[in-house]
Amino acid sequence: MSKADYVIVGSNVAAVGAIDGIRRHDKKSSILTIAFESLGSYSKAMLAAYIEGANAQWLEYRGKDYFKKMGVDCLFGRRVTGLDAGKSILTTDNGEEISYKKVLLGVGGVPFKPAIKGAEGKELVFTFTDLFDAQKIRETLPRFDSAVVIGAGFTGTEIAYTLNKLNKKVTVVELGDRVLVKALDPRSSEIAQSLMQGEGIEFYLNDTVEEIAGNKEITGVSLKSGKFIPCQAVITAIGVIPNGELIKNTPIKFDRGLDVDDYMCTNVPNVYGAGDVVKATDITDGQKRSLPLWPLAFQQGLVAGINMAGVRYPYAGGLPMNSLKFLKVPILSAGITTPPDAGYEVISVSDPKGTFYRSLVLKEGRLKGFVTIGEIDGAGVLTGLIRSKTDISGIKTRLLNKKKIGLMQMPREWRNRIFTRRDETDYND
Amino acid sequence: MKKVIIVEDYCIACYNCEVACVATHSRSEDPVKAYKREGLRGRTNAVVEVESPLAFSSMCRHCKHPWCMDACISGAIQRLDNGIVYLDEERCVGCWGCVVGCPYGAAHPNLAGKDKHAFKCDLCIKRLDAGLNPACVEACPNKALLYDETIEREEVHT
Repeated sequence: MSKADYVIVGSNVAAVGAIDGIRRHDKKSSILTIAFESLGSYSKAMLAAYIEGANAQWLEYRGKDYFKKMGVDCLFGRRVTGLDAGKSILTTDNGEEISYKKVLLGVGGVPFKPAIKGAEGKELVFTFTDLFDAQKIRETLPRFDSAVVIGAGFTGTEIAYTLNKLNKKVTVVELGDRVLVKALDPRSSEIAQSLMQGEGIEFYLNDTVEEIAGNKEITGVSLKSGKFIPCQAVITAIGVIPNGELIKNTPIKFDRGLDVDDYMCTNVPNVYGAGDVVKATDITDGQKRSLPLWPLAFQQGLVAGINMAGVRYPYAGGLPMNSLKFLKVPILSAGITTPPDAGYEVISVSDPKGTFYRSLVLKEGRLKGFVTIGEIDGAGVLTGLIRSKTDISGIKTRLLNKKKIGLMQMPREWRNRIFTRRDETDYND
Repeated sequence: MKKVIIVEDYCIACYNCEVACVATHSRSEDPVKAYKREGLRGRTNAVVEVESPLAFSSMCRHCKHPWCMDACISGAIQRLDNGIVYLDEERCVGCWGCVVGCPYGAAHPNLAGKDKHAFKCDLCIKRLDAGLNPACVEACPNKALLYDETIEREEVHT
């Protein structure tokens, strides 16, 4: 049996964050990272580029030398199949046992697959969450000219956009009444949808796929509304859910997501979690939920690592942020974009051409969220104002100004602190 | 760590820092060529804001824990051993995560042209290696930008 002081299950962004965190305070103890992907650390957010033809090496998030530099042993291409939380032992798919002092579960999420009639036994039915999915789609590209994407969230619209760019006829079917409902408000959903329609993507909203038709080869899908859309491939992109596979039959609490405390620790003292697998605090409302977003995974990993190294440091919670990177007109958003009740104030501005739109959501004078389309330079200032819970009553109309959002409207004391920077960025900054 | 300290009371809105920044990050390292031939107008990492009589130039604060780095999906942004938060434009895929993440608006999107990537201050790393001050500091006629030591808080993680 081999052993390591710290074992990191997973090698992606949460794992990298954790390694950074551990090494800030513990340069000596041994770290072992185990991941089933042989590529090691790669960027799942860049899978679309791989489908478009980029080299797999292009997806590398931290180079191979990163692990060496950080003094981390790697076991790539091995899947962790068992976890004995009582004895602190992991088992891999080749039967090897590894004992740990502390373990981080950065096992990510798995695509939510609805049971669709006719989906079984057909080759060209895909999900789009990891490199294996992307490889399958890329290999089979020559075998289909048309595809139906189920789900108009971030992943759905991204794969739709990518396939459309590769000259496939793409139709998106969405159960809700608008696209990108989590990231955008109704007006910006409309703008995003029309941008994609302008590229040739078709949308069916308030509808769902009831059956995938055909034998081995897909001939089309029939919708609840009764419509039949001919197509040769189907991609389900309804969302990812925390991966609870490894936690089954362990005393570790998992309820639609790994339960972790403010220190990213589970109910078992030496088992930590970070990334898409956990339920994390959303700072916009203080609720714990699954927030499968890149920057949050990194931050959670880092906080987990710091705590694993023995320094108590709480996670202040994550702010959901989105960037629709694939669209020709950039769209950024953060926090609450659609107010859940009447207690919020919404102010917005747009130009008639639809190339500029910005909306700010406030509660009691404080910024809770925003969407900005077209003009994005300085948008992070808005993100900072959400995090710092600054009263923006006096400057809110200035923040709708089309030009770059600068620091001129910020309080002088704030600016001088930043400009002379005696302290550093903090979550509570 | 030494950083560019901004003194807003001294700024006279001359924009010399912007020109110097563009020039030093151009191929020719010549301001006229950089603007006219290399199409680098607007590609300054030090950005002047003016609302008379107030003016200042601001750029990346090289945070100990950079929000832009958290949000970077390609790994293009990394914090170097010397503390410089460096964005490798070759690796950047233009996801704008840093743009939405930086609370100081110091990571900028290059939306013009087909070359889609973000850009930000690199503290003139090449000039520092050569024993020179950052170009904006060198170009400032009124000491509104200084290259000097900042005192870091002891224990800051995120």
